[in-house]
Amino acid sequence: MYNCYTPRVATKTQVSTLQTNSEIQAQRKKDDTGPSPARSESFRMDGRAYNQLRPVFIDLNTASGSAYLEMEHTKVLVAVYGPKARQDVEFSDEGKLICDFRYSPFALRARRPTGKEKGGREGGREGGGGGGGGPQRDEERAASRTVSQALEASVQLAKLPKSVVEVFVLVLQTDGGEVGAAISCASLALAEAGIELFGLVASCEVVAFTPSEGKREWRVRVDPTAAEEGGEEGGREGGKEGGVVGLALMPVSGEVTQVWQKGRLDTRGSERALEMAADGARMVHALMRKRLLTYMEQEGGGEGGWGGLGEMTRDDRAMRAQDEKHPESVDGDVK
Amino acid sequence: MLSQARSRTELAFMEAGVEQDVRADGRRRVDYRDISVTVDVVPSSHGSARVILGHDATEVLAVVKADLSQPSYERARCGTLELNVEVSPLALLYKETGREVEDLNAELTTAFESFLVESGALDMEALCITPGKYAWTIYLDVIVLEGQGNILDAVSLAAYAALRTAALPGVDAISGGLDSANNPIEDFELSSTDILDAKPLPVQNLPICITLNRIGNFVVVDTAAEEEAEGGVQARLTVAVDETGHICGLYKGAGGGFPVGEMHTLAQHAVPIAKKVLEGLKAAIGLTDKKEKKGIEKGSSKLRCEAGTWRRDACVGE
Repeated sequence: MYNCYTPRVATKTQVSTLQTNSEIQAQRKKDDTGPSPARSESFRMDGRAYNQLRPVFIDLNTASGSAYLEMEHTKVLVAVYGPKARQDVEFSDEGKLICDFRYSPFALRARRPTGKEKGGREGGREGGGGGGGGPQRDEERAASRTVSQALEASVQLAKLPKSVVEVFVLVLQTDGGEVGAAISCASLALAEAGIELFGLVASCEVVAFTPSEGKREWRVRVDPTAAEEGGEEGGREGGKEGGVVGLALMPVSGEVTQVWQKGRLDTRGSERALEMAADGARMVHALMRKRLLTYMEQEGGGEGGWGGLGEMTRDDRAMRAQDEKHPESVDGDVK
Repeated sequence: MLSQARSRTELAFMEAGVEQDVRADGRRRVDYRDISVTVDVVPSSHGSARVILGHDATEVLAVVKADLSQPSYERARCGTLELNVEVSPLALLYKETGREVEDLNAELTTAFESFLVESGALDMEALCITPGKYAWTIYLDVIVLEGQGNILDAVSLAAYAALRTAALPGVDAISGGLDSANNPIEDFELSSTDILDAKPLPVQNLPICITLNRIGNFVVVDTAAEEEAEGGVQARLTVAVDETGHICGLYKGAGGGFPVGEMHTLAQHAVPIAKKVLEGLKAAIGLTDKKEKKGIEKGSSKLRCEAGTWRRDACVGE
């Protein structure tokens, strides 16, 4: 098993130019205020184009009900437990999804105390649980809520009465976009655990900024690193225009299950940012789906849920064949 | 957020009503409940405001206190803002567990904090008196006293009113010269001890939140407690809009989703609503675009606001 200390390096993704529909493109030509896809000066610090994701590595070949996702330097590990019996209420019609989001002590720049140090509060929360390391901080609680709300719409909770599904997220390293990565990774972990889903939820962040205040020209970058998020390009110091928008999308139903924005954006900036975040999420979804199908093939029966479904269904095979016929419509290439 | 269980029949009744633009209390989908704003309710603080939505349905108190502190090394020229939003036990009717209450407080705090801080509305550098030595720390404590629906919006309105009417004593930095130990003197003194000479906080373009709730295939604002029942609202989008109509933040609550193609129109839907609410709010606390009130308002101004129309009450200055 590849562990997180000797990760396989993700190969560079080959992402084709965004497939925007012709209406939007025609309008852009008329407007002439949006950035054109071919502009060469919009290359970023790591050489990516404005609409290019970081290399993605997904590992599902681990304990049942878990997934590991890496977006260059953002590394997230998710484990799913359940469905198990619910302790808090006697009866419930539908299942409940709980998420526990934690940063490992070494994930952020400044080392976080584990709660076991002298003078720190008592570690662990009631009922124990994975992750450990003291009570959750506010931002971890907020992130837990963000992730669980993003995933709720994708799990067939009506099929899990009196049960609870627990999702444990551990951020091993963060370089921007960890909440989005957590959502995508948790969705994969749920699938890998064999919990019945409506679809996968994929998430992506974008940073939008104007090169100069007041001008209506908005630049949007998909999948920003921490430096891009908080730096000048983020433009959020002192009320300048610019912000980060994140979005979680379930392409199967076309619904946005989670969205967040930090920073000021006007109408046009908001529109561009939401649009590109949705496109980015679709790109991530394509990668996730591809990886999950490959994993299913490799594992054959395997543990949890997929037992007996070693063979791909006819629909999956048809989808596969179509993907192979039109490689340019599937973004990304995961080894 | 604080909700109770409702039967399927009640939920179906509510959805059908929303479809026909008639909600349980007779409001339209875009109507807010009566908003009542009172400022200066805590005389011992630097600024305070109490907002009541509806008929004592949701009540929020926001208090601003300022204190001097030493700025951190990395941000030596900036003051700080400490925000805390809490739901008081008075507001909890449905026996939420301790953990749920903590989660709710954390959710409200982080959601609102990201709107306030990331919008750049409070000029941190203006809060610094002497770089590296003295700076103001603004403590904004918001307490939810009654939580019958639409808590986050009420929190933002109360915080807006409190921050806009808060006033700090004018302070001048003194430097130059050496003291007895031959260290350079860095001190400050009050410009004036007259309370009317207090300076307003350096805020501009403060945002307020408008929460859009999806019930069935329609979107309503300002949900009452019965509308927020479990299963009533499929998805909730809180949009923070500032005074120039820019969107300063998005926050989504509840588990469902919004159609991806409509995200933008949805977010923009909140902007005119926010504009109307802001206009009324500013009039209520005595701030108009023409002339900004300086200093502390003596007494308080109470404004009773009907949905869509704003009138001044007879009991001003009581």
